[in-house]
Amino acid sequence: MEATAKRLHKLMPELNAIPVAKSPEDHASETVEIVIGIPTCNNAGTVSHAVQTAQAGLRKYYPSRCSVVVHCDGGSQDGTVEAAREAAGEGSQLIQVNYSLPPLSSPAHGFSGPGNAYRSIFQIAQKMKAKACIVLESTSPSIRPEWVDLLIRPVLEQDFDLVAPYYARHKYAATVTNGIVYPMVRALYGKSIRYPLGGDCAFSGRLTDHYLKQPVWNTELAWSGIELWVTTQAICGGFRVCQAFLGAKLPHPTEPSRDVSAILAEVLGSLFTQMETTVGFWQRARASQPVPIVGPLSDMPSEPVAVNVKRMIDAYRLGHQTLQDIWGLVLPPASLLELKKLANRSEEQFRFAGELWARILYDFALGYRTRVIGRDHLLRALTPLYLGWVASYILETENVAPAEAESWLEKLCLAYEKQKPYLISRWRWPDRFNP
Amino acid sequence: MWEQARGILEDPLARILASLTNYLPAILAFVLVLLLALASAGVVRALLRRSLLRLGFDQFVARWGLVELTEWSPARSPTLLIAATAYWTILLLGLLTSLSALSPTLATQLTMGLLSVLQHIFLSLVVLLAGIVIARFLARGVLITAVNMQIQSARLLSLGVKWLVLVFSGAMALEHLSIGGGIVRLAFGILFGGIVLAMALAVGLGSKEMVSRSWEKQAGRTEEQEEQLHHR
Repeated sequence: MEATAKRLHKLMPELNAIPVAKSPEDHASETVEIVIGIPTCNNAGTVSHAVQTAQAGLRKYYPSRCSVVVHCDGGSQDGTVEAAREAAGEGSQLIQVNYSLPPLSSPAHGFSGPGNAYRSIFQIAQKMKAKACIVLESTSPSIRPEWVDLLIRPVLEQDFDLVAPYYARHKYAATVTNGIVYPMVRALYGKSIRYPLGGDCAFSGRLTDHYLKQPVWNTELAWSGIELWVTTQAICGGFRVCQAFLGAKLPHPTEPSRDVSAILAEVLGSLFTQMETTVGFWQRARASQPVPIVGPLSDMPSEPVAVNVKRMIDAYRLGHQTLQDIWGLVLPPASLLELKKLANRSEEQFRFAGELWARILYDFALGYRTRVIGRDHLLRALTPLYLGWVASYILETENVAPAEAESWLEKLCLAYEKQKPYLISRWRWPDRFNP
Repeated sequence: MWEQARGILEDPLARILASLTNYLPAILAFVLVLLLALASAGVVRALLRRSLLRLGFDQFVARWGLVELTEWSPARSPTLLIAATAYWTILLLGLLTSLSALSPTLATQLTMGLLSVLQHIFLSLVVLLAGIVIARFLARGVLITAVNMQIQSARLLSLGVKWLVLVFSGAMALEHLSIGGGIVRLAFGILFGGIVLAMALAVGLGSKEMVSRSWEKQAGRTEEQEEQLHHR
């Protein structure tokens, strides 16, 4: 492994490889077939599991293939590097490199700028001529050795370029993905990828080469929205995409919960920015196509989850009372009228129509593009509307099985697709009167 | 006698005519420069108005959120405001130039005095404009954040922040213009202190229960999010 690190230094002097423990193996003269990348930034509590699982997966499913695990760290200060090294053990196939954080960010502020981590992993995969490259989320306790096989096999044996994850998640988990990212990416780019924000993905050598040629690195998009970018770039580049059913994915129990408006600002900022850069593609894309799913399907978790719907509806009503002026800058009068009617409804009758929700998102995308107000303010002003939609979604699906909730989301996706001409029209003629 | 009277009348007339002849080129220059200034001011105003309207400047101003500028503009059009400002500036410069044709000393004194006043007015306007922009930005940020934290009095908070910044920038602008002097400083101190005290009282005493309920709600919300709902 020391030799691998030395070789890496020779190949890529710009990478700051962390000195690793001695290793008996020498891959200097070999071509590495599989690279597994694990980006971290202050994840001492979870990195061990990710590293050990990746190694176990490689040992179990690809013992004869030359492979390497790359731990890419963003200057952790909580002993993540040491924890990963310890977890890998003596003589392990672990390469540790540093990646640079974006300006004005600090490791103390959590995991920021994973774009540079992805870039480092892709560069290593390219230099080592890897056939397949995986990126695993270091924060998830759900990673299993099987994931390595489920993600790599479609690349090595079925010639897919991107293997996106398909998790079995609770119907009330990942509501930003369910209500915004999945239906919007599907309507815009014409591919039905259930979890476009990825996190655990596999890439072919062709695709990593393609990514590295794009002029996105060291931009805001790469720093905060890389997970979505890798998906949309693969679609826009015409690469073969599939999904791997990975089973349950749970958030880490000690992972701190984040402010909803901060999540919305980050995810929607990335999505709307990509809409601007890929406008030529998505305006031509028509009805969505299914994306093949590999791996054995299993049931979605359906244990009851306690959520306070009333609080969400109250948040919506407060937003409706207070943020009218800001919403009025982006939403047409017809939408504002429907929102007013919704605010006056009782909890039992509180239902957010799918088409209204889709139009609101499209109007906010246009407001983001035309910079009606500061972009961060605009995205955060969506929070009460989003909570209203979540409340409506929960009320509509509280007594149904997970599969039926998926059918409900399918209808939402169709509403997004139906409203796409509205988006295209407004995008092309933003100043035209919109009743 | 007739000759004597004629002499008495002709001499002052000749002197007046001589003076007029001396001043006539200067008066003509004054009128000409003034007319030229008037014409160029009119042309610049028309050109500015036409080009800014064609560029959709009013819409840009609305998009940038400079509502105050729109409100203060004639016919609520910032384009007209800019065109009118350019018109009167050129006219003023033309007047000063034409005055220099009549009396260079007077014109120089006037120009120096005016420049000094204009400098102060300009800087005060910059301070005031920056204050308005900052006040609007902060007020909007506070409003959105407070609503997202589900604070019922979000609008009041936002309004408080807006007026704090506006009062602060207004006092700075008046101080720069040397208007009011100590009175402005004193009034600002009283007003600023009053607003802070009022907010402190509102939070500390008047709205004690509301604030505690709000904090309880906030605490409950955080726990709920940590335990149950994962948005991403």
